[in-house]
Amino acid sequence: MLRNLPGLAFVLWLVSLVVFLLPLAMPGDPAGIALLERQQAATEENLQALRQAWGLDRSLPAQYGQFVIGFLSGDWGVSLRTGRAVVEEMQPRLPWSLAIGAGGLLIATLACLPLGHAAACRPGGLLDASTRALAVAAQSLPAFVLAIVAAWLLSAQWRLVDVYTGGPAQRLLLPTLLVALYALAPLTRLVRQALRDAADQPYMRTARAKGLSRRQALRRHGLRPALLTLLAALTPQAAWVVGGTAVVEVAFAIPGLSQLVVESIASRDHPVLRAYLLAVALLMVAVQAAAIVLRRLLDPRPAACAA
Amino acid sequence: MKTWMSMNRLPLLLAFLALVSVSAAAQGQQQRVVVGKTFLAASADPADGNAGWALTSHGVGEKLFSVGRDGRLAGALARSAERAADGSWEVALQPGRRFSDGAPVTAAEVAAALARTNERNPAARASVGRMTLQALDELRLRIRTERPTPVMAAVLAEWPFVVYRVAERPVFTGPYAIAALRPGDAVDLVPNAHHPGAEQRPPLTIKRFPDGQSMALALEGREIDMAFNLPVESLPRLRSRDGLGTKSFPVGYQYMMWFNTRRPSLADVRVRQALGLAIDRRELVQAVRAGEVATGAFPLDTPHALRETLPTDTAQAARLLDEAGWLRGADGRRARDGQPLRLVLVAYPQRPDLVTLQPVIRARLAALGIEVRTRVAEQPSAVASSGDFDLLLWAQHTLPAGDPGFFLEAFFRSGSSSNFPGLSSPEIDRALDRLAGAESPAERVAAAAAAHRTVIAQAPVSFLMTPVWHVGLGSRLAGYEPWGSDYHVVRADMGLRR
Repeated sequence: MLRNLPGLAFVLWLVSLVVFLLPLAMPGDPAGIALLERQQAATEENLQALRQAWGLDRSLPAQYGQFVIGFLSGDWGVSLRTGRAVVEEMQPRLPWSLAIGAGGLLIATLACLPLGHAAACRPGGLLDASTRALAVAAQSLPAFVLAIVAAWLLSAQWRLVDVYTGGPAQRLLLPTLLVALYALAPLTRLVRQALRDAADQPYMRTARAKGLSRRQALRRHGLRPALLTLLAALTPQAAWVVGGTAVVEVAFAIPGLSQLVVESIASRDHPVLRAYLLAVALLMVAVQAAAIVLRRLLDPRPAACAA
Repeated sequence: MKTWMSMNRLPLLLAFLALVSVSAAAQGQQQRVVVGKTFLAASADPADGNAGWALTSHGVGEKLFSVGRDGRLAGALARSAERAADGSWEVALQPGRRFSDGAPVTAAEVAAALARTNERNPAARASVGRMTLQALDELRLRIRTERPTPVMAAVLAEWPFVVYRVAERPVFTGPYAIAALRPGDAVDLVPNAHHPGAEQRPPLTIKRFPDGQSMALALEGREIDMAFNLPVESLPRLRSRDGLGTKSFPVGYQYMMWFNTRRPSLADVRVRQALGLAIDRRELVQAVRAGEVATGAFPLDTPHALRETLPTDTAQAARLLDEAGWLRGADGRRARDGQPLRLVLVAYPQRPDLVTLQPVIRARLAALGIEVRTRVAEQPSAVASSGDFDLLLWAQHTLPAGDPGFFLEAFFRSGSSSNFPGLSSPEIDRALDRLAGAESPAERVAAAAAAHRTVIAQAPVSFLMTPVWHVGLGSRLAGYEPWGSDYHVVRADMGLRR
């Protein structure tokens, strides 16, 4: 991993550049939008004054430099929409998004192992067919549709959960479960397939010959390789969860980071968007690094032998 | 005991205790009234953006003057506003009023607050420019303005001029005080102990929803007691539920369509007049299933509404387009000098009715031989300020302070910041000058009507309809009567305990 550091640094630099430039490609002038929101005339003088106050009148390299240095030192800039520090905007929202995203992914990761194992033990059985159907449904049903249906059933019809106005636990329940459900489907199929592949290995025949049942053999000797496969799938799933969280946050009126990002896109709030994108990129790198470390712990063999 | 507390009974006991505690907590929650809205104050500082409007809407802030249920201006924290010989105004406050922290509302506090807002918030300078306020004694203050006005009461009724005590956390006078503000989520309110009737007033939470449909779901689930501004398609479902009701009310907003006069195809007044004549306003009302046809800029139930209907005359519209040189080709489409007449009609999703109106208008204009493409823009401010439109559907409260001067001046004066059509009309400017000089109510009504008709004749805009908004109510608020648009959602009479 240390050998990869220069490469990683280069990738992160490239990502920071893209993140900096991307909001500039959006149509609409943030200064013009802000002036109109403040009911101020969008004269050239007013536009210039605002751009100067925001530092937008400086050259792009200077702005980029400040963006990177500021990000690394914890100063993520000021929201053009609210005037508050970006960090101050994000802080109260982070726990909500973290609970939904990380919570959902954790539930999916923990649940996919026993489910995948049970599906692998009885190929073609009821559980196997159910997990396959779940995977297809997750691909076909948009998350916001399921969110609305779930809210309608559990709140409006059965009044089991205060989806919108309950305490944090009630409000987080459905969004977290939805995120977990959408992550669970592909992970379960992955674990199931990994166990099926493991079942065909010579060491599994040895295990069976020693008297272990199919179920026991898969559990004792198949789960570790399945875990390795699972770890490899976690980074793309984590990426999906970031996007999926946005959908459920809006659908369930959760005051999370994604809601902030949606509002920032509408108002062309460049500092918020940049900070968010770069933070997510770093998060993905961290997830990938954690996956690599865990993989090494599970499989200490050198890479050449691990294949 | 040990047997009784064995493993198969202990979980049951714990579950029972959990259920009891959750139920008790739920009972506590039920004491609080919960109001659902799609907009929430982002800040408790009235000098900040449109926070002043939001705080009044939330029942936290009050102004010196306010528009009542009958659409007429009346004193709120002030008793009177009288003009002095030198053009300044002397405002007399109501005695005995207090802020929510118990401090008395004095002229000095009011002067400090309004001066601060006027200095920091450009919207507070829109009507009269910079203000100089001076406390004359405990209950009187003098106001001098950069630009003269004959209607200071109306100016002070504008949404930026919420009265507050300047402090680290501003303190207000409304029936409610802010206990906690969770930006983007909810605001918890407690009754202002120093506002009349406080002991009968329940605690209240305003919960923000991303859209009307999720708000309707929350109302169905009895999670909220009121859903403010529901989509019309949710009404039958809600009405069919026991314990739920809906009420509809005209809101003072007008739907209108701006013409971008900077575009060559719309620079000719005949073209703009033709577009206005092509529209059947009754069709628009049918499309959104509620409302009234517009007769002009102001709703029919206001003193400033014009009584003559805006005509629909497709034959006349066609003649005007022919005169302007836009002739029908063999394909039925209009063109001039080889250029087809193509227009982009923009609406924004924050007002769903406007999106509903798009295809209706497009069909009408297509029948005239005009090719119309529709676009939904998420950021109407950007579209309006940049002039990136041919036709722009818009919703605007045209009498927020009860006086027509605000709307006419802001949107039709040559060069004004909200002159979205970009029309510079000496006739309109002269009419607005006469309105600015009109002092008595009768003079103002007449001058406003004249300016109003001049605007209609010059056609920078076509007024379409007066919408009706819908409010869903649970049993606790079944007696609530909505009025005042979204300027007065939480009022002193909401949910009073008997």
